[in-house]
Amino acid sequence: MRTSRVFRLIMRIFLMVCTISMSVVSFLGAMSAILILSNPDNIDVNGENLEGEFDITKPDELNLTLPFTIKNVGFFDIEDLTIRIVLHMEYSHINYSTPGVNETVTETIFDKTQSFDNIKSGDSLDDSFEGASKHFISENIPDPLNELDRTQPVKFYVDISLSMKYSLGLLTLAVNIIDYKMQELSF
Amino acid sequence: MGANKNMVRGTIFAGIYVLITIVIPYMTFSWISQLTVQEMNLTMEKEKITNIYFWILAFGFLISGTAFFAYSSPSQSIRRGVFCLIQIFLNCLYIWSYKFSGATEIEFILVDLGTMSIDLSQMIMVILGIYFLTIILKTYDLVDFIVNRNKIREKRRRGE
Repeated sequence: MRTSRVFRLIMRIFLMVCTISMSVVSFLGAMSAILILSNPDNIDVNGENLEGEFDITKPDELNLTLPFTIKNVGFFDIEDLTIRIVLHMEYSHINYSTPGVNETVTETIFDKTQSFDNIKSGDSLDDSFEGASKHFISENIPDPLNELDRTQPVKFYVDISLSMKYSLGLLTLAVNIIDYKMQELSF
Repeated sequence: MGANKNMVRGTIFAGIYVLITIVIPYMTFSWISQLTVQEMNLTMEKEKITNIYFWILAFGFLISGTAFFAYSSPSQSIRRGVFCLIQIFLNCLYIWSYKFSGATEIEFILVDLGTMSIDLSQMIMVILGIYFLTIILKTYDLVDFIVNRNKIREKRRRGE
């Protein structure tokens, strides 16, 4: 057999192994995505479960918790799981320059990204996103006495971003819940 | 008789490439553009999906056409070597078209809630890596067909 034929044969076998591996990884990745996403219980990250203390008159007691459950029913491990929560506060700002005309202001008062352990295939992760008072952006929180129109309710909106890698890190999945209305508080 | 056999082989391979590069991707994207996940309808931007379809069809037909010429050419001929190489380059452009048409970063709109996105760029890069090795192999084939042209013709004449 000619040397060129041997070289070609080796290369062809190598390429065939690579192509088959990629096809199998892609197929299993797609199958896993369908398995995970088809059941609502598999990714239970819901804005309704968000709990916390948002009383801005007590800045040291501010906190935020989001318990969640992710079941990995797919064929590969879930890697680089991160959750980012951004909390916005909408309030009526007292306008001293034009008495009686207040303006609605929206400020980001919380922004934190938290990483979690990898979830092995077949396992599930019951964990919670935790935010303490130190993660709140104190300079964006209005002074309740001088800046906040306390006759108007304060509204809270949350952005939840979840991202993870799948199929040996070849696929990145991200879910963004934007401006989820949480609660209204009066101070 | 040999020419007819080559034509049939070319047509069969062109059909296979139409299936792989046009029919399967077209059906896949049609399916995922109307996907329902967790009882929510996922919708893709219409402009984006039209763009993806356009590039799938454009490169799909080019690849299928060159597949016909490549596989209808006599075995170990320079013509086959050239068309196989062109086909591999077109395949690379086809894979790359997934990236520039936005098909690797698929974003769905979750109505009244937000967005969901799937990024396949990393996977496309690995597939392109495999194609790079295929280009080396096909280039080597072409050089071999040119250098050993007389030997190959002699063998063909002897019917080996």
